[in-house]
Amino acid sequence: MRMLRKTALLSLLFVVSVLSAAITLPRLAASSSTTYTYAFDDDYDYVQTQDAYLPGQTITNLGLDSPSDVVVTNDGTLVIADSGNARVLVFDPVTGQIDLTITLDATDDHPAMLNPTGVFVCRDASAYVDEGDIYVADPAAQRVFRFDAAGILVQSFGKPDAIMYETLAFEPEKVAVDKAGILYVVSKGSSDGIVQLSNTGAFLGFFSSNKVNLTLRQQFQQLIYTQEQLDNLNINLTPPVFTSVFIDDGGIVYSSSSGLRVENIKKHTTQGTNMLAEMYISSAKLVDITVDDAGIMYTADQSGWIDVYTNDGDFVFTFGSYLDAGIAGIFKSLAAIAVDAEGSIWTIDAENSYLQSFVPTEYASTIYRAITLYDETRYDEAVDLWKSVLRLNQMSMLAHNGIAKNYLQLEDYELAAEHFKIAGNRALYSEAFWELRNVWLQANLLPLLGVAFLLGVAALAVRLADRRTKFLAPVRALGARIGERKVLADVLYAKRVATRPADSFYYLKKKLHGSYLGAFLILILTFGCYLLFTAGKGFIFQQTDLEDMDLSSIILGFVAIIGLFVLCSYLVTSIQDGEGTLGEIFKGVAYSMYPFILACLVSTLVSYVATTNELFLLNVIFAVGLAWTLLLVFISISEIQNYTFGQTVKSVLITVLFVVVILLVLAFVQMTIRQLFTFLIEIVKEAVRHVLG
Amino acid sequence: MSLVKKIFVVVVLFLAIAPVAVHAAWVSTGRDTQENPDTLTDIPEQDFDTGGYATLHENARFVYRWQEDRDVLVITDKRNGYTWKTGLDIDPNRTKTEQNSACRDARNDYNDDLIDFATFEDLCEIPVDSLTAIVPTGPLIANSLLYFDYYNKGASDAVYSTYTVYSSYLKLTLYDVTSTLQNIDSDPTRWRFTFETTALGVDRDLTMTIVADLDLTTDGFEIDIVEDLLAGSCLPYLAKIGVAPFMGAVGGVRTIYTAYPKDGLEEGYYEDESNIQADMIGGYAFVPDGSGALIRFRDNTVPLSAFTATVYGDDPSQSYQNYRTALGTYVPFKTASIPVFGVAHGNDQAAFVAYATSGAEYMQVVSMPEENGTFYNYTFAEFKYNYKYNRIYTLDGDNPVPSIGDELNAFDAVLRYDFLAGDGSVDGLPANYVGMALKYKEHLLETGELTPSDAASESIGIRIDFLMADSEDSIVGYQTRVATGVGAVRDILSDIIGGGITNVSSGLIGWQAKGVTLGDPSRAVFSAGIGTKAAFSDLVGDFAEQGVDVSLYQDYYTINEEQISLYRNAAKHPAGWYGRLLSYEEPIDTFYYARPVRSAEWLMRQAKTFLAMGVLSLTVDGMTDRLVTDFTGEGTSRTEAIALYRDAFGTLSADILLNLTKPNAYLFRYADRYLQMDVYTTQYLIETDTVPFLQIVLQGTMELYAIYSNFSFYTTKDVLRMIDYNVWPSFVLTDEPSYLFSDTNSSDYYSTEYELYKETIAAIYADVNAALSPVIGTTWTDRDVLAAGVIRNTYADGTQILVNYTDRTYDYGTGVIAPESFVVLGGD
Repeated sequence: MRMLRKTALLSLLFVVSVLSAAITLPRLAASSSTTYTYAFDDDYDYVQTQDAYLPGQTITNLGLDSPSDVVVTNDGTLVIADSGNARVLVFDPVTGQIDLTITLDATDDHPAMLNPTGVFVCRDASAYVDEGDIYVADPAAQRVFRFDAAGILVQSFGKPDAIMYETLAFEPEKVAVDKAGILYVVSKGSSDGIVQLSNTGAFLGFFSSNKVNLTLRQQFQQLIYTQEQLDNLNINLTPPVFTSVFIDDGGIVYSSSSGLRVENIKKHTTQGTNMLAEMYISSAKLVDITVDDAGIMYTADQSGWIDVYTNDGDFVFTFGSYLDAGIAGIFKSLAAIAVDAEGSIWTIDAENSYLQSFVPTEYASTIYRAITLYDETRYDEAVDLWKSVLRLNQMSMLAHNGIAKNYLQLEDYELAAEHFKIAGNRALYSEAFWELRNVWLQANLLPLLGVAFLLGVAALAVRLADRRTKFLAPVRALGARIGERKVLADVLYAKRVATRPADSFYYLKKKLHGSYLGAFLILILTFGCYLLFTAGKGFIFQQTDLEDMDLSSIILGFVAIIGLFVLCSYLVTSIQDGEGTLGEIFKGVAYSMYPFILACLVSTLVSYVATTNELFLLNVIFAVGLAWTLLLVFISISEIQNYTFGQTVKSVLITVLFVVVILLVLAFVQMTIRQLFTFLIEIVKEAVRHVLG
Repeated sequence: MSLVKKIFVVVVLFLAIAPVAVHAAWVSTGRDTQENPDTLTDIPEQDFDTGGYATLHENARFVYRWQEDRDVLVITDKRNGYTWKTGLDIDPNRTKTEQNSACRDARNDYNDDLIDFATFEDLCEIPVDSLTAIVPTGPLIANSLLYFDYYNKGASDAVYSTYTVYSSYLKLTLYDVTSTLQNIDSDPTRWRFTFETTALGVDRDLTMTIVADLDLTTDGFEIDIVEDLLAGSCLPYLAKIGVAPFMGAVGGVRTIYTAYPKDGLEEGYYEDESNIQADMIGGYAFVPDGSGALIRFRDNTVPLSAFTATVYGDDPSQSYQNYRTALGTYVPFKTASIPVFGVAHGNDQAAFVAYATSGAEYMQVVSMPEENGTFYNYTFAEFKYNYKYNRIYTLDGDNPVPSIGDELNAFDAVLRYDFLAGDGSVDGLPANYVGMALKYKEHLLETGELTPSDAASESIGIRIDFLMADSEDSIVGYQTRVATGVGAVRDILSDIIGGGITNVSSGLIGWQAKGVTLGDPSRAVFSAGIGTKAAFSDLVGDFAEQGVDVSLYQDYYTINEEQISLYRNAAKHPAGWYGRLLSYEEPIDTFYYARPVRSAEWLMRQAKTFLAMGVLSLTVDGMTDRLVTDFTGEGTSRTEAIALYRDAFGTLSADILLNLTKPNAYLFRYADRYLQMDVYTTQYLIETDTVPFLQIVLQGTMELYAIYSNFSFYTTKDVLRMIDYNVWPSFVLTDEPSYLFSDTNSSDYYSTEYELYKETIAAIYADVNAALSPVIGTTWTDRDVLAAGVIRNTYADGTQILVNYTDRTYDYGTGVIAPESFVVLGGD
């Protein structure tokens, strides 16, 4: 749902005209920011938050032509792959000067550098690489070039001498190098994965690859279609390609990919598998990824979105936008991203050919510090920082989650639960609640048991006493008088139906017990309990807020299902020699609802004291209640219509089918009427237009 | 009331309001004001006795000439000897071919000893502008005093295309163009320029006549395109008229010729080099983007988008689609609230400021960066007469028919150019953006649109708004979330006043039943949950006695269906549907635009109730900074809407103070407080500087309040900006945490709880007050950049405020300013 919403947002961006930017809702004017920052709310929808980054420098005077990559060196200079000009620049953003321009002409040993698209700078020296070495991936030259810090060519890596490269193309677009000098190369159009080369250029294998994820429909098609039909469908069975690769100072490899239903961000193990397979990914068409010293991940999306994630893959926030209007901070074609030591993000717009930096605000910096402190188990300090974040943004679910996690570690479960609840984090709220319940039980279980025992003893004593002295006779008489009231008796008869269905339905049919009013009241009670179950469960199990529910649909659905079933059952049974009338069927269905009512009530009550570990309990209670009710409905049909088992089964199946058919017909009729109405309106408007010219 | 000034130095060690996370060295960006441009050392001189220049008029300051062949008005400013032209004045016949031929002839003559080398150089080394290569339109575009766009439909019933016709078109080219300049009533200061075109349209059978009257004034000149004089069968298709696009243009790419002398037996020869970028002179264009932006003349190495702004904001009705989508991904572009632009050449040497005195509501300011087709930086104005849109005939909006407006926008376009010279030591109007602002301010004061205000307090004001209530979805209908009740407003304001801040004005947002989004703008309906009418009246009255102005806020421009019926209330787009604004917000995701007549009507109706409650002022939003053309019935044009609003505010201003949110220039006359003042620009890539142009214009005539400090505007640098731009702080507060509004349309108020901002309010107010209270009641006269990131603002009484944005100490001679700090010097 989140991805759909983001995709819808992104796709709309492409069709919005420039002029629409000037007229918008009276939104609050952000300071010097040109885009909004979004984080998650408690429903995991995007919600605007305090600006995380503000536009910094916009550098348009470097003469860049379709730049495609940027990295930051240890001394804060930027290494830029200026693809269109076949050069690599080393640029100092503080002085505004180009420190070094690297070009390469062809020699006998290597081709010229024609179209550098990827750069990587070694930040630490080792036995195999020197600090400041610049690796450049050039797909046009089909080489990865290694330059030293002065721009002198040291090595050049061409197509590996391996069997599979006899047919495979080697067009390196991005490169990253570890301390052993092993190259990780993203080759253009290669769906086999990230190419791993040794420090001498020998092919080591494919480090990681993407999987093809088909939709359910496509899987079904694969199963039943012939090859010819499949060819006509043009299902893309090629895995999505990698778009970038990055290695942090600890040697962990990160990669980004572009495509739907794929792990667009990967933090690789040494075997190449993804440590963060379950993480939520905010954007689909990633073009680059980078990681800072604290492990915070930054990704760049083709549509101009910059997303930030923690080192555990938790989504922090996103900002940026696409618009072809030449505004700082809004991209026409976001191509690459890098982060410097001060936390400033550097980006490249490939089509407008400029560099844009973003400076973190206090808000963002505080969040990052708080995350780091949590990782370092400095929980008290982290709590203080999260409080600062909350001061700046009281809607920050990230902060509420962060502060709650810290409270959980500090064993302050009440505060943890409070903040998890605000953050909508049911899983961790359940943990905190479990602890609170545990504490409560430990404190109160013994006294509770004691009280229960005493109450039991007291009840026994009262009973014995009553048997001798009958002092409770008036109470019993009162109870009996209340119980004998017709309406109440009719409603309570449902309890008997549940325990002795066969006889009870017979008496219902014969009008010896029960009534239409009673049945109606039971159905109202059923609806009420169902609504309570749907909308009133405890926080852990209540996934949808009351305000987000469509009450009219729920009512309509309930009435439609019950009403249609009763009606269709009557119609079916009346042509199948059934003995029951419409009213009797109605009563039968209504009086079957007792187990369902009970199940809803009990489940709802249990949901307030259960945790996620006890979810099965709720499900079992509800399932048993529902199953029991359905069984009672089955029995009611059998008894009321006087059918055999086989006849009952047949009747029920036909009834269900009948209900489905009626629903389809109603939907069709509704569509047709709407089309007719639309058609008439169009004729009138067309006529008016022609008459008036 | 002006303060009694004494000489003092206030070195304020700036307390960090909140620790700023950025530790990087300060680097200047487009959000700052850069140092002065390079000085023009070589003022070009031209001999106007030859070349077809006729003198039209001469006064104490200017000599006006006309180049008949190219229709260029030439203005020589006697004060500095600088010559301005309404076009580049390029001889279209001086092409590369011609010059090559001239060079060849000169070379031959030189080699034949018929002429000397110096003469050879003079005849050959004449650069040729590359525009002459864009045949035939290049030099003609650059020379034209006027041009117009018109809509042309193809032979089939297809989409309208736009074609452009320039007044300097040579005859016998694409169109048959004739242009004449005639004197009016023998008055040498009044001339009529008539620009006639035939052979327009698909069938080349349409005509157009545009008449522009030139008034040569003591400050410059004025060009008046009178609507009644526009004529021709092509008139219904007229889209835009542009004025002097290349006036003040800088740049250009040339072909350079270099002559070489004989060398022994070697003959003399010449070489040509093409695509040589002309040196950019120092200077910039000023555009009215947000607070004000400068676009310096640069040789951009990459093509960048032009700056375009519609004065008073885009019109949602004069647009292609009947809907707009507020994606909420990027910050809305700043509006051009004043119809002004300007160009400065050199370093406080020569400049002009241009502003519309009529037709501003249909004006657009365009600034083209270099690296576009002509390789010039140029800035100009155009006026919009018609628009394209999709006319809809189906219920679903399918298959719309591309159309143009049935009627032209009716207005006279009057654009005035005033010239500035020197550093301002003579007339107080330096030839830079400060001089432009002061000149425009002078015009507004003369016409009564601005009036100097009497400083009512010795300390600056602070704006404290409250977000009271908004609505969210409920199981049935909506439920109102109240974050601040009347009682809480009272408590918070009392607390703030008790803390020593007394000059407080306050706006209550969401005071009405159902809150800010669903509250009915046409009536004043109160609810006990937020506050009864009596409670509000008591609140207003009690604080009025203490000199605190509490008012009720209302947006009369944007409406929704849940709030009020759209029938006869929502403005219609010419497509036939209501104009809509679609958003991703909840619970209301579709908004409409109120008809201007209704906006004015609701304003008056609610004002009546508020006045009866004893309010001292009204807080108005929406209709103050946005205009919409209404196509309901007879319709209301932008011009009529402005008249309606001026009428309404004019009536109210007699009885009450007006707090207007970002008012456009036509409401300056009535504004007592300017709320949510921009201190940044839209940040186009081509914009090199941000300047407080608007603030300089308005300072001293009304109270100016910045954007809310709650939202990323509270750091040290932001406070320095308030001081630099002379704007006072504002906050929006709630009693309860703002996450109460997370499911409402106010979910973007993400940090508002008073308890969290108590100290910040006091701290920011203290700092800004320390800086700006000394200059209350005095006029802002100058602003200059002492060094990168160090600004000096000078006021009429001699007070100077120095602001240091950098992370380094600055030595100003008699003292130092600490990093990220300010100093107040001087005074009477």
